[in-house]
Amino acid sequence: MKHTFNIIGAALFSTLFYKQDLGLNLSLFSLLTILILAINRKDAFSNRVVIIKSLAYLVTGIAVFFYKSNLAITANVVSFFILVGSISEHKASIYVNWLNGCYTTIAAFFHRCYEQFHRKEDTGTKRKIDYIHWLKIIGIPMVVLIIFISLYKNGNPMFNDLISQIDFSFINLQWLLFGLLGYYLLNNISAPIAVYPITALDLSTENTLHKVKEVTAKKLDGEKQLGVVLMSLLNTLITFFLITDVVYVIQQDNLNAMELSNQVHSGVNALIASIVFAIVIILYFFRANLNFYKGNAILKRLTYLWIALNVLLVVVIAFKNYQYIHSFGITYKRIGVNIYLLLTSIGLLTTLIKVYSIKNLWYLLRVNIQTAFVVLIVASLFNWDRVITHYNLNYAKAADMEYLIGLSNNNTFLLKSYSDNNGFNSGDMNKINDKYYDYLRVLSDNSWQEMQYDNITIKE
Amino acid sequence: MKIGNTAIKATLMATVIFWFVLFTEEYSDSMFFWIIPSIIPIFLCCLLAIIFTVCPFFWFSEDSLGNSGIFKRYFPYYAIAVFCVCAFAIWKFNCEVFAIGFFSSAFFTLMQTWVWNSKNDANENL
Repeated sequence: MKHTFNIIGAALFSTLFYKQDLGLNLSLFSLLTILILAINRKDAFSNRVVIIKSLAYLVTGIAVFFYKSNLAITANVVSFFILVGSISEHKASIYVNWLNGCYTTIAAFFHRCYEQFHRKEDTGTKRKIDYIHWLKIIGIPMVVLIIFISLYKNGNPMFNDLISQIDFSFINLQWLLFGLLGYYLLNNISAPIAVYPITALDLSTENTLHKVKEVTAKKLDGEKQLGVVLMSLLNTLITFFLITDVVYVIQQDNLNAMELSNQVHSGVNALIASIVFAIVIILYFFRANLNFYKGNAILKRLTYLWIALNVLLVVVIAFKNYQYIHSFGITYKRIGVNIYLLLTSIGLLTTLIKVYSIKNLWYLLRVNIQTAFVVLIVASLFNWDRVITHYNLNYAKAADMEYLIGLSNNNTFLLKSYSDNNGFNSGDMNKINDKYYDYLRVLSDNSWQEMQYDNITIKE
Repeated sequence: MKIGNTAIKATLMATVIFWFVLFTEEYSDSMFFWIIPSIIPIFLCCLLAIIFTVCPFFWFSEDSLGNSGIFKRYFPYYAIAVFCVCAFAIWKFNCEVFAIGFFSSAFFTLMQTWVWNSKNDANENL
């Protein structure tokens, strides 16, 4: 039964992807993958985490149909691996899920070959298949037959005519080969496997920190004193930096593009260094027994203050970035800065939780990577080209038309309707018209597998 | 580890995959006469790939692990790394059929080589 589903799936795989660009096919493949996984591992789908990851995978597949952005395709591929990995072991961390998913997709067939051999050996029910014998019986006669046919064809014109009339052109061998690849892929994911020993190690690693061994109170006190001095100095420094930064932003009413750009970029660089230092220092001091030391209250308070001031730094940079966007429009880089600021804020929050609830490094790694995955999925659901174009044309003080025209086809209809209603200079109008008609041509050339949401919109 | 035996089996497998992929692109009778001579370079490629990428895992690992333990510990990472290299190479050669044939046969053959090696260990213990 399992093989029947895989064979049907392989035929569908070949039909969907053979010599096709991405579009509706990736959405349908997402559905097919979930079906195959659900058929083969019904038990795994009773778990809430697996259901959520399946939905995330399906949603990114649908996003590819709607926008076909690189981000949506990346999110779809990443969530595919994570879903497959979470079926092999749903309790594992997200990065281990990803590794398990990669391994299952790439080489589960060979892993199972190895396991089957050893299982048979252990149970003593080994039924050895003589592959060499089968290869001899089928392969050698076939090769010899073909060689002789090609020799006889040259020796007898009538035989040559008869052989030439046999037409196998209706069989597309590449299509079959592609189907075979699809079968290999579906067969691999039908029974996901876990990588040893990393999965077992991950499952046995807790999020909570434990007292490792007895350390003298004197040594801990010395460490605490160092921490208090360092944190106090760093807090003073970041406060001074923030005051000067805020005063500078308030005093400068009309910064030009170059100045604002420098402000945002240097601010982000400062933030990167500051956050990395903050987390490294916090991890160093709260790596072990100082967490359980009774006299650590001051150090903990200074650490919370340090984290809060870093969050304030994020807010100041976000404000500068907003000013920059308001004046000169949104670009991918400016969206990237916002996403980075969001991830940084979450990173700081999880570091605070780590110190407050006495968690270990693995907790930080697990939660932050999981957050990054959620951000990736959510970000892939937006048509960013359309968002950028809409904002820049309607709200930004100045719009860079070259940049907007250079974006992907996802903003073509919006640009066209805006140019028809409001008009641009003739150069831009021509470029927009070229982009529009080129896109219509691309859409009309799309096969049903490559279909996008815009195919439906143009029909309407 | 029986390198010679494994290399011969790997050559047979790689030859079949490589030529099968090539035949799907274009078939002509004259291509058949190239199968036999092609076995020599394919054998050399298999032998070198096995000696330089698979054997070191078995030669330099702790003895206590055994071939089976080595397979469990290192094969997953090896498989992912070889897949990435082969996929990158195919992409770099603009997905030409020759590149697909060469690198896909390299990938599948190297994967199977690990299975053969772990089986060798079990058979030797019988």
